[in-house]
Amino acid sequence: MEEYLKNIDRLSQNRDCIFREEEDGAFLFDPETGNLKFINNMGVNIYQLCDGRMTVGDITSLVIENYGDISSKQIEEDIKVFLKSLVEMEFLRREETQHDR
Amino acid sequence: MTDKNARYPLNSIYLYVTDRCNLRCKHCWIEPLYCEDCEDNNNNEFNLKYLKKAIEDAREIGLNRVKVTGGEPFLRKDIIDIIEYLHAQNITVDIETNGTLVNKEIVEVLRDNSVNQVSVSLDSMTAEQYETFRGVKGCYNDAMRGLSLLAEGGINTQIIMTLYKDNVSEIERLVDLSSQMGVESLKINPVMPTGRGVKFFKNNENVQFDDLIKIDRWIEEELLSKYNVDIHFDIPIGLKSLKCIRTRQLFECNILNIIGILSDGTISLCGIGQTETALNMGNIAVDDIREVWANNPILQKLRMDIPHNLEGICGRCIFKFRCRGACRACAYGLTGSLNSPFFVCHEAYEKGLFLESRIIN
Repeated sequence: MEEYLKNIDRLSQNRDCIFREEEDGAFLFDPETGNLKFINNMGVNIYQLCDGRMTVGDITSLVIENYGDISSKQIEEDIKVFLKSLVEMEFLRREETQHDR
Repeated sequence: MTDKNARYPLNSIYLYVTDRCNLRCKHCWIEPLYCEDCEDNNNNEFNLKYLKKAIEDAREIGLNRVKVTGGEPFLRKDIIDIIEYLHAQNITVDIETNGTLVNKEIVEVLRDNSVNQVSVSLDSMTAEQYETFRGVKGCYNDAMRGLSLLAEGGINTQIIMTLYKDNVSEIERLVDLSSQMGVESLKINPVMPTGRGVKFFKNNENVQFDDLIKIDRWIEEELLSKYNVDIHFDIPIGLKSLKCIRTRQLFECNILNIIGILSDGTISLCGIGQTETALNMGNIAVDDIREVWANNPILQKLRMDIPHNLEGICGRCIFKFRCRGACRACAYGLTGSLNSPFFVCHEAYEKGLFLESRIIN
């Protein structure tokens, strides 16, 4: 089965969605669909790295650097699952890349 | 099921089986008729044959749950027939009662018919305070006996506590009682400014907003870990703590999937139709509930407006798709509009106490 997200994919934040920080993380809310998701502080860091320029691979590398005590394979898997959920709820958008054309 | 019905299935009916009650509760939003001698059935109450037709029809458009309430449901002579019929139709049945008429035979019927939950109103462990609030001398012992029979009889039992200023100190006592009796949950509803509850607000007997929040956090931070009882404090999700939102199942009114049937067969939004007759949509004796559900203009407008056209803070809250403006019946009762903000959240916003992080700019 083809991977849903590839390391070369770039993701950007859907600017129509609302990002609201609270004490232990943040809510993402889409006023059109009503989609609402709470993300913890780690999730907030990852979400904020999705600027349309960094690739999924870049983001994963940055997180691995900061969490040396967790296996890099595990981090990579967790990040892809997390980002996939945000893309599916349309809080993130996949930027068009070479392999899409 | 048509596409329109598939989008808005009628999942639940609030069934007000009688408008009679053997108590005179000071806060009641339904304002039922008090009857000392409640032996006879009231001729104005719907006939079971019409209910059967309505239930059969409603099942076609999604019905799977009925909340049996009143008045006091056990005043109806054919209440057992109603419960047995609903069970035979594979409907999940919840019952709200004041508990005073519950006896061993009734408990047996409830068990035999797999009633999902029975909620008993109890707001104080002090007979005098309870009876003053419930308006009838001697009813405390009856209610406690009913509650005890239900809990001991293996029925999933809930205590519903109506909260006002003078019974705040009873909260922990009722949690403790629930824990000791094996009552599964305690639902605490702050009194609402509708029906007879209006007087509480006029006399400043309701719990003030700041105290509601303090009580909510006290329950979350202390009582839930101290007692093995599920406690639901009924304030809107937008006012709940982040921890509570993330970890607990919250009560939310599924107003877009509910309809009410009043004791005379009137089809209404919920019990609000008892006092706000403009929200009535027909009668099960003459109208097809499927037709009402599909085409009634009040319901059609509600589907367009909730949550998209909620007004005030409710329209700007990030939880509006989940909360749907809390109690729309209360909003209507206060303002005459189903779109107006819920009064507790409105007050919080006006006082600058509604969290900025939950407001859409």
